[in-house]
Amino acid sequence: MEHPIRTTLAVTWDRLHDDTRRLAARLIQDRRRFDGIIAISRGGMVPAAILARELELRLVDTISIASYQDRQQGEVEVLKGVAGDGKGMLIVDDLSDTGATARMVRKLLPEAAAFVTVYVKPEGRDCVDIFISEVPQDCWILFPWDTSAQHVAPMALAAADRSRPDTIAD
Amino acid sequence: MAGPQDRQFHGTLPVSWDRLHHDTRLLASQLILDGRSFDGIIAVSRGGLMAAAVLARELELRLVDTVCVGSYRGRVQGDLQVIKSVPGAGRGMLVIDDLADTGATARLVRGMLPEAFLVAIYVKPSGRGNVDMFVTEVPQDCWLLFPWDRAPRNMPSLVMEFPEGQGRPAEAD
Repeated sequence: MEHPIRTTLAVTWDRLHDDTRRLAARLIQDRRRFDGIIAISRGGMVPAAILARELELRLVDTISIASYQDRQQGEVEVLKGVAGDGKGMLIVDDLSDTGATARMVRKLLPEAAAFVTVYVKPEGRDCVDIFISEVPQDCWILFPWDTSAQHVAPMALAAADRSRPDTIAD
Repeated sequence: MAGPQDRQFHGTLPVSWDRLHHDTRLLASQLILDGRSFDGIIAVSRGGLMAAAVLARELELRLVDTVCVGSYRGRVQGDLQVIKSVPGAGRGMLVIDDLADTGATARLVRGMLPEAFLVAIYVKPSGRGNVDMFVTEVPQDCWLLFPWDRAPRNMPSLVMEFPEGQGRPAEAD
């Protein structure tokens, strides 16, 4: 099912760091042990870097997947896989949106010890073992690697500009 | 991890996420300006992971792999151990690390991937000659405090920490 994007949530680097550290804390509290991390590239790279640091894991591999075509989740294609069935590995992504990526990766790595994401949307929620925050399906998460700090007009001026009615809501 | 008592380091440069993002984007723009194109990117894990994510995004590279090298023990670079490599000689690939410090990791990775283009965001003088491109050089005795190694903690005011001019503030370093 397709959802028109109604709101955006800009996640800063510090926010993502903090949320990913909370994910690490959950994994440690649950006494889960892993031999290494597999980042779902590109979105899972930064959470993987943070988790690997906190969990003292030196082995970090990637599975390279092309999925998002702009704001629609289109075809999922594997550009680089990993050898084996994922036994003992922690799989990490930034977001489980529709769950399509998570389902495919779980099929590729059925023995993975856990599949975690920092954020989930309702449709993708059941595909992950642990997550930190849920956002509405129609919310577009702007990750820090996709943003840079830009000058913005004062809100009062933006509100007067009827050609950009969405500027305030964001 | 070693602390300020570690005499080997005279200054600490905290690098924020935003700063590292900005510096990595500078590296990406330099690569684009130079007309370099790549088939994919190889992060030297763990330090190069975040920079690799940023470069891959800016250069529209979907293929991201890693080489995993264990080196630092606290602040001291010890023996290097390759935990994961990649097949091939790195042809067409961009290899990225956060820092070329002594250059030991860069030399090791260069030996594994002689045909790759090797870059680092930061270099120190000893490591500078081992990479093909970098953004910023820092002194050899400067300790870079990367964002994944930091978290906000309460701190005493400088006056409380250094009463009557005893010792000197970290900011003076």
